[in-house]
Amino acid sequence: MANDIFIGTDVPSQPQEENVDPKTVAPWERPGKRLPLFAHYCIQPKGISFTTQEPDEYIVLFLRRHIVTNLSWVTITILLNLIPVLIFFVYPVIDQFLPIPSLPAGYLIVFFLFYYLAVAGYAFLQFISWFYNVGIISNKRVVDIDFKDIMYREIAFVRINEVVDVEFHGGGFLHGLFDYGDVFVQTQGIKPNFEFQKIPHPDDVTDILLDLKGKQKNAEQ
Amino acid sequence: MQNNDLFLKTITNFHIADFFKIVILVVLAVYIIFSLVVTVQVKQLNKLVNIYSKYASSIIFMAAVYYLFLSIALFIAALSLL
Repeated sequence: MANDIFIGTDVPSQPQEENVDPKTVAPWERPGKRLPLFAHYCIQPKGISFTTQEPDEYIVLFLRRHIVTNLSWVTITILLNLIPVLIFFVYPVIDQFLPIPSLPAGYLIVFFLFYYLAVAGYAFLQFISWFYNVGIISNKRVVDIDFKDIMYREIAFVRINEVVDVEFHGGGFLHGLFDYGDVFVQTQGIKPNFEFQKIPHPDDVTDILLDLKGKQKNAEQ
Repeated sequence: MQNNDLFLKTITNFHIADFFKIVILVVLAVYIIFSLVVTVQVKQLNKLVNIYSKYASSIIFMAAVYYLFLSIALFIAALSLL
């Protein structure tokens, strides 16, 4: 197996039942589908695996923050892009009443170019922060990849049988409208607790985790 | 004595505009470092989360590299324009 945590080609065996009735089987036992590029919730994604994956382990659920949560930074970016345009139109009007000493052309060009570069940097950072903050639930483990800022990232694994409790929180207009919320996974002893923030369908995620836990427990007995 | 005169002459010729030039160039230099860090991080994250295809990962990495080049280009432009 390669050294990357995720590899695009070697996919371990997932349940590949062909004539499966979706009403009678659990979500993770349904045939998988190819992961869309900007997916935020995908049951049984095909084409993903991770380094420490065991031969009989397969990914049940792939999670990211709900795509709607990107709306805030997209709006801020659009507004920031419009500010210089606004200044361009407002400046002559203000200058009539309150003369403003103008900067040399060189300074103005550098300033505006830097401004747009900073706005692009902000948007890019926000995008990769969403893109690389990934949660994975396999039939054996829970994996949480947090990309908090440009210098810090955190990857945590916990086995399903070490999960003590799972709960979800969701409140507010947008949470209800787009069905997203936070899922907290409490683990045994000194293992860190997991927190999937603003993920889609938190109730389904909780159900899947608890079902997997129950299934593991039954298998152990 | 001569050195002292030279220092005084330099100080009196040092306008506020020069101060701004230095500030702007320092800020841009810091920005290049920031862009470099982002590029390196994206490369490492692509190794970590190579989940789609080589193309998707490459596009994001190329965007980071492009951004780094833009920062360097702006620094060079600032050197010539200011």
